[in-house]
Amino acid sequence: MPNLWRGETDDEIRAALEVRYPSLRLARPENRRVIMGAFNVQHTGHFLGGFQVEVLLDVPDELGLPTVREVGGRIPRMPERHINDKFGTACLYLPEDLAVRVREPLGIIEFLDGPVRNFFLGQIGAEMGTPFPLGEWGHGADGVKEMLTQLLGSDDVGTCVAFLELLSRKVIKAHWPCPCGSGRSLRDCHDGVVRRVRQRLPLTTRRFLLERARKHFPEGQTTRNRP
Amino acid sequence: MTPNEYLSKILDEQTLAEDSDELKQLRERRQDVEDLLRADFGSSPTIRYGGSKSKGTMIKEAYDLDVICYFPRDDDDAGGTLESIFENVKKSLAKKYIVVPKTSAIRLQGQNYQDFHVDVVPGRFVDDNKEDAFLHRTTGEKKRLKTNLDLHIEHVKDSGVVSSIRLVKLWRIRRGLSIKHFALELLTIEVLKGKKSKSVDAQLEYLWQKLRDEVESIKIEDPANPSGNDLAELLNDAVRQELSTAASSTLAAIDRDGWEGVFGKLATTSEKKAAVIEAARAVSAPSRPWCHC
Ligand SMILES: [Zn+2]
Repeated sequence: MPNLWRGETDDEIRAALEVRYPSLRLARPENRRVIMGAFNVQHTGHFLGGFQVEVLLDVPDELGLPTVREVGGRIPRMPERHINDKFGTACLYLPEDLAVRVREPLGIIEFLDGPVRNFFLGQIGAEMGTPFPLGEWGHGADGVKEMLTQLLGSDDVGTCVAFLELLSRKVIKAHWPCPCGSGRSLRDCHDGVVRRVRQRLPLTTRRFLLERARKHFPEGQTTRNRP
Repeated sequence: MTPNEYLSKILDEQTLAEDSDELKQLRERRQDVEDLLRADFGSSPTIRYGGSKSKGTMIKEAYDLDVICYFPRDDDDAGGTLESIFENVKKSLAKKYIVVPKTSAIRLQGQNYQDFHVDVVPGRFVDDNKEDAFLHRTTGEKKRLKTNLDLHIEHVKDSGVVSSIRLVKLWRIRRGLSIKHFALELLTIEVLKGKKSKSVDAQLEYLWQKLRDEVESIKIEDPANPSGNDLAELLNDAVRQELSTAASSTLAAIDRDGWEGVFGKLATTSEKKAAVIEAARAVSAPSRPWCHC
């Protein structure tokens, strides 16, 4: 599993927040490490909006990144607003997508400047009638399918899983049959796609995508409709 | 534009118009709360607005409505003890709302946990004058708090520094400060009591200088019960330290960027909308929200 969290000491986090996010502070309620306060979205001197948040440093997600909650009740907790449960957990990103995009592990500031700010900027847009100007993923498995389609060029989940199975191998031979199901060898078919993804993504990320795809599409193998 | 003009425009931006959606919804919510409570407790409790609505200190970014619900001294229908009054009012509200107990109030949320900006404050009048009241406290050693709504309202309204109080409130919410609003309001009035004739920008700078340089010397007391209610915990060392740090960096921001460095550029709604789109365009590492439920 890829780990996208750099992991800083409390002192490093405190010092970084003081400079870049003075409205957030690291607290230790009941010995948990939580960043609390106001997350403000600003742009070229404009104050666009503020949210009361908690960043739970001890509750990592599947990428090792902290869980973020909106605790001011400003955002209704519903799937359309990407707040997923009654605890107010924000669904900042599609893990598969972030795993593909992020090259180096993130420190707290990069995490806040990136996915967290993007999320709350989208929420401000939603309140103003221009929801999620950066786009949003489809709910659940739909979003995963969108992302895999963009990455692998097939909108058939069975085919995507087959590609990921191949891509999860350390060694890939050009004379093997192409996972697209054409009956041709890889060399004569989707070799380009496979090469591109192998070059772009490390093996751990490719395997992560496979593991997640199997979870989201348990029927992937059997229902695939080959072209 | 002078700092004073700028700040007065910021306050205009933060003013909720009488016909704004926010105030309309608050009024409806208040009526709904009253209906709910009357259905269970009849005509006996006194139900009225408290908080910033009655003090004239509301701001758009943190508009909270206090609805007080005080029972007569000799009325045991809602409960014999303050705690049982609190619990019964909570139970009544829970028929329709998600209720979140706070120190002496009950916060209302909708079924999707959206905050309704309403705190219901149950209590019991001390005597038949219906002025002083006792509130239940859910935390701390002291389980009972004596208060007086009209004294609190007057204390703020007559302070002569209502504009500064509103701006300090905005500062508190934007800086994510942990001090209770009630305590910060008292502190602001206390520090500025000799500075009423100064301009608002001078008042704020004076307040922040005081917080930066002499925060440990500031004392606050509850006007409703000066000797009885100990507010020391609301202004403990950690809270003071946080205030001092925030005040210091706020003053530095004024030096560096002027007042816009504190409260941001003035903007109309359409300019703000444009800034949001522009901000989205400027994002270098886009990520989009998902949902897995
Ligand atoms: Zn192929």
